[in-house]
Amino acid sequence: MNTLLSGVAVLGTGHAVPERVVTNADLATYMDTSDEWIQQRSGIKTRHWCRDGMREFVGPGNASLAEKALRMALNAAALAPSVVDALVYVTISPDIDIPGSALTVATQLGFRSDLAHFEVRNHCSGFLYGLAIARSLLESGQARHVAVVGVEVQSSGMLLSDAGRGTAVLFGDGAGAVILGPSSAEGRGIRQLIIESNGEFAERLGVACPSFARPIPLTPSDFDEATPNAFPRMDGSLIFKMASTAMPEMVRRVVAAEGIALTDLALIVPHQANQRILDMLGRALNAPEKVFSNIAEYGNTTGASIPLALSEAVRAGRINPGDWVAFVSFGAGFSWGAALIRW
Amino acid sequence: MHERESQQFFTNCVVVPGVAVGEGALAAPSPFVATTPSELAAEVVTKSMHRWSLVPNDIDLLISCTNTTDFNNPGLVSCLLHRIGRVGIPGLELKHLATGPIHAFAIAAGMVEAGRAERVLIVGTELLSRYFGDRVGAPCAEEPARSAQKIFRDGAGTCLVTSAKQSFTKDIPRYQVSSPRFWRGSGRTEHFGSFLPQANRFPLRLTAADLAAGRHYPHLDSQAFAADLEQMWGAADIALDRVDQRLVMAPVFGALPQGTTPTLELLAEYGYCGAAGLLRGLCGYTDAASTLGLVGVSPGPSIASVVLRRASA
Repeated sequence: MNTLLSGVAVLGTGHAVPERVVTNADLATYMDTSDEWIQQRSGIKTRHWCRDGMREFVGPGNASLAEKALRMALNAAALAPSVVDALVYVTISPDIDIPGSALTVATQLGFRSDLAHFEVRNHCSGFLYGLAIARSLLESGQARHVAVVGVEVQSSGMLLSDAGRGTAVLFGDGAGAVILGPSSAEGRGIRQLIIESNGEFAERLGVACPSFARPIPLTPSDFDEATPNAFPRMDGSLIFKMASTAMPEMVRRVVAAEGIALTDLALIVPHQANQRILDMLGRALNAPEKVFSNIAEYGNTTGASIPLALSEAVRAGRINPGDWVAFVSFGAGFSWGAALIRW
Repeated sequence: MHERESQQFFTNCVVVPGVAVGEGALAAPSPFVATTPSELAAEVVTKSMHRWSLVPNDIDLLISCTNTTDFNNPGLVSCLLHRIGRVGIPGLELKHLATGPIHAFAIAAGMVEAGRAERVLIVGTELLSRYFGDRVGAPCAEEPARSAQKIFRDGAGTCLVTSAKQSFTKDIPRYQVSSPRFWRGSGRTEHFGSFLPQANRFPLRLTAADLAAGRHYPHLDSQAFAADLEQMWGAADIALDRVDQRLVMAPVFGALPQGTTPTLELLAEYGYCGAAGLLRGLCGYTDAASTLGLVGVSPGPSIASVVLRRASA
């Protein structure tokens, strides 16, 4: 899968986040934490949540966020929903378990009833998997236009107590989308895409339950603070160590595969997991000013983070036609990857 | 893709069936009491590799189709890659129930045709009976959970998607994959599905009282779902009229439009075992029909089909 690619381009981007902004001070009312503690360890100042504290889920839901992001991306691409042949839906937090949210969004947006839809569950690297799926459909002639959306609503799954403070402060809700189609210029589009994984560390980052490895996938005790199997778990030091090594290495590999120099990159759009990791990435590549970051405002939005950051970068004028842009991720699985795009 | 109803051609990719496991039809309980999803998947992968005379390092993409994972996240594919000792390749997880293998065929064939992958391993794994794990031996009294409980079964199956140039021993059938494939989806979720939330939604979307009342169980309103399907076929996939045999994995009998026969209803053979269903059907199919139509029906409702043509050895 590590070969030259040309001809599949990003035609439009979009993003959406819930209106409700949750500050570090807000979280300090539920758990023993502080603005200083959170910022020092993650660089996060706020996040956008669909959840209103301990009280209720105020929305919008997963499908509504995805719909808004896709609508913005379609408008940017100047395309009607009816021309989209496939929807790649990347999330680990759909509104319902089965059938997920893709068909709901497709109906709301007015996509055709013969749309091919793909429910992808690949966490922080999910957007890169989505790009790989879209590219395969486009290159093989199965589709002419493909929409890829990464969307997460994670706030409702956070443990808002001292037992959950290691993870609850990190995650945010949001969506980012791209429309992919034929490139209009020679050499433009997705040039390189590499995804790799190592399942040895599957238990080090994620959510254990519901677990179908057990006779009963989910029980009330999974929500106890003493056995919080239904809430995120994370080996932060291991992830920091591995991500700090893997992410710069993946950027170097896609750049080398294309035969360009690191200095040719105009922008690096990484998965927004932690500002400390992004700082390490910038230092390792000797290009801190080229590492795009919006984690201070949104936190870690898992599968949504790269397309959300990309959409903001485009609208901020950070990406121009002809620029070399790299995406890079590391996350649960563990799974990691990078893509190189000639904009 | 826009003219899929009127055109039918075949790619240069072949589907090579592997090994499947699973027992029992609708009346039988699950035989997999002490098994985890990744153990079940690893078992069929290991046996399939042996059958194909391949080793895990020969695979450059693994696509796992499942709704029932060892952990809520990461998915089954991470655990499976670790169990078979394959490191460094992409592991894609699709969540589609019965249509999953068709989605995987589309991705795999695209990857192989574009030269992005040489051998794509597809694994369908389900332990669907565990949705009702706290009701073993005590059937749900309430509809529509009872209807779902009656049909949900377990199993796993595999296939390989690779170039038609790849050779295998003569006793292993190979099928060319059609393109385009057929898709239908409606976005109606109320008649078949599962509201068991991703665990991270539980505190606010489902309460302990909901759990006690059984509102977390999957549900199936068979009559309403069948009516949904009837409306969706509309301009049905005419490619299915032209095949010698059809293998159908649907939660209700008679899912295909009337007149599309002969049809092997896998529901009667295996129960509804989601993403494992069509792969079990394909792995177990021994007749010499030259063209096969695979049809999956998932909640949504979502319909997907593909035509396979027997390739010469």
